[in-house]
Amino acid sequence: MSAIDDITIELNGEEQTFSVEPGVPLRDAIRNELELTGTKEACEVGECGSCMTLVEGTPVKSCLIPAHQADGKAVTTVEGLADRSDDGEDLHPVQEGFIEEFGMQCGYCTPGFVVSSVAMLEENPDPSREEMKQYLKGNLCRCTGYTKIFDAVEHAAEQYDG
Amino acid sequence: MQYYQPGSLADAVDRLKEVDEAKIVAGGQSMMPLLRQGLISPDALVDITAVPDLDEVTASDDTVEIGALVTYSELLDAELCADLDLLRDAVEAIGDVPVRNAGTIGGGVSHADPAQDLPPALQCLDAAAVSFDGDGTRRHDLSEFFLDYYLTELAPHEIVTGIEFERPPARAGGAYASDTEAPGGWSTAGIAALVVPDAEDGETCVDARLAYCAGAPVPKRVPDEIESLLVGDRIDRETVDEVAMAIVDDLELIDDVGDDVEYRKHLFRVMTKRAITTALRRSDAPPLAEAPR
Ligand SMILES: Cc1cc2nc3c(=O)[nH]c(=O)nc-3n(C[C@H](O)[C@H](O)[C@H](O)COP(=O)(O)OP(=O)(O)OC[C@H]3O[C@@H](n4cnc5c(N)ncnc54)[C@H](O)[C@@H]3O)c2cc1C
Ligand code: FES
Ligand code: FES
Repeated sequence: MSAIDDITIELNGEEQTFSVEPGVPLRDAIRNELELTGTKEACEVGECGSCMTLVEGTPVKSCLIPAHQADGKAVTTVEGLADRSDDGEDLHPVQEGFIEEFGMQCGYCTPGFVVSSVAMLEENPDPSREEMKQYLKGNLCRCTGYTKIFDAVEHAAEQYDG
Repeated sequence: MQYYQPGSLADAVDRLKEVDEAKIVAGGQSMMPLLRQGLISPDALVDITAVPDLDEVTASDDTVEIGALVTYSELLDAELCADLDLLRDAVEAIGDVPVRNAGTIGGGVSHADPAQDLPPALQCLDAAAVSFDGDGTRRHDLSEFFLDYYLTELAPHEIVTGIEFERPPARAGGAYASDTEAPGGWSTAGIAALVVPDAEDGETCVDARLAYCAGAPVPKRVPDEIESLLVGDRIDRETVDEVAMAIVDDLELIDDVGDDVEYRKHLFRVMTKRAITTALRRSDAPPLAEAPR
């Protein structure tokens, strides 16, 4: 067996093949090779959650996953959440929630929070504030003080049928 | 650097042996930050996540086997964690949801960070890490496994394949208590406790096991002299205080920049009391007794 360099992922529903250097995190492959920059980079140590990505529907910090581990898997980034099925662009209820409740200030953390919140609501469509705090512990925001973010998720949960 | 994703355990060991500076990567939750910060620069990464048969939790009435590639989240979802409060507490204390989604049980013991939350719980369960080195399997008592900061008994080409332990009796109670500076952060004091009441009278403590992390260079099973203070009688508040003080004396805290040793000792005192009283409450024994006057 030799080192794998070409990997194929199903990114937001579309199959993509690209080559990647050994040890490069999934985050950098998404940003640099696949040129989707909604997955943010802010730390190198897995502490901020702004790079949150769904791999097979499960939220992970994409700066902590070697890109090779996503080979053959379905990867969803914030760009893949809106429904573009009938020509238009229907934002995901969680994205709507962040807009409606002003769940952001500078917005840098927002994609990460949106991705985590989507995963949380898939598992638990009606979380309490305490459950939100527990689930979203891996996402940091330096601006909002979180209250507006939890309001946004609550707003989304009201619209959400799972 | 080379990246290998071997499809068998034997292949993985071969890769590790053939390259001088080769490192295992599993969940990546500790390995990727080390790489990204330039703290290590191996010649090869051997990704073991495609090795088959290491992702099962197998529990019978007596024994438990947890495959090395089982993630923390998968373990939390397993029925085992509904039964074993001690294990559930410890896994829930680890990082946050996405870290638990990727981090593995094998990495959780092999990384050997002194602040890792899982090892004390496993030490209280008298667990062993099972490993494969190409020639055969070895069993490592987890109370002897950790040698120093980030150092274990494992040879560089040796792979942990799983964790094994015997289930404690149903009348036993266990708990893990820990404190962090910030939500999702590493533990600044963590202690696991398991107490077993007598099967006959239901209240005399016949076995007590304690272990802590973040208080010494390695996750550490508490010396027998201290554990045995809890054994032989019904546990009372005075004894719990005595044990907490003894554990504080056992700590090897380093007076590091920005670290308040006295405060850390205080945390250990509080966490020890919390772990023992919670374990007792979850056991078949009556709750904590006041010392006789
Ligand atoms: C933001 C953040 C917060 C965290 N908070 C906590 C916390 O509160 N408590 C806690 O306990 N941990 C915490 N962790 C660490 C987490 O537990 C890691 O998942 C764990 O240390 C490593 O598991 P892994 O599978 O990701 O291993 P990797 O990162 O892939 O590997 C870690 C080390 O173990 C070795 N290794 C991995 N698997 C094996 C194996 N099967 N056999 C031999 N060697 C192996 C690797 O070579 C490497 O040296 C945190 C991590 C992050 C990023
Ligand atoms: S960039 Fe991944 S957690 Fe900070
Ligand atoms: S809105 Fe600025 S970091 Fe969250």
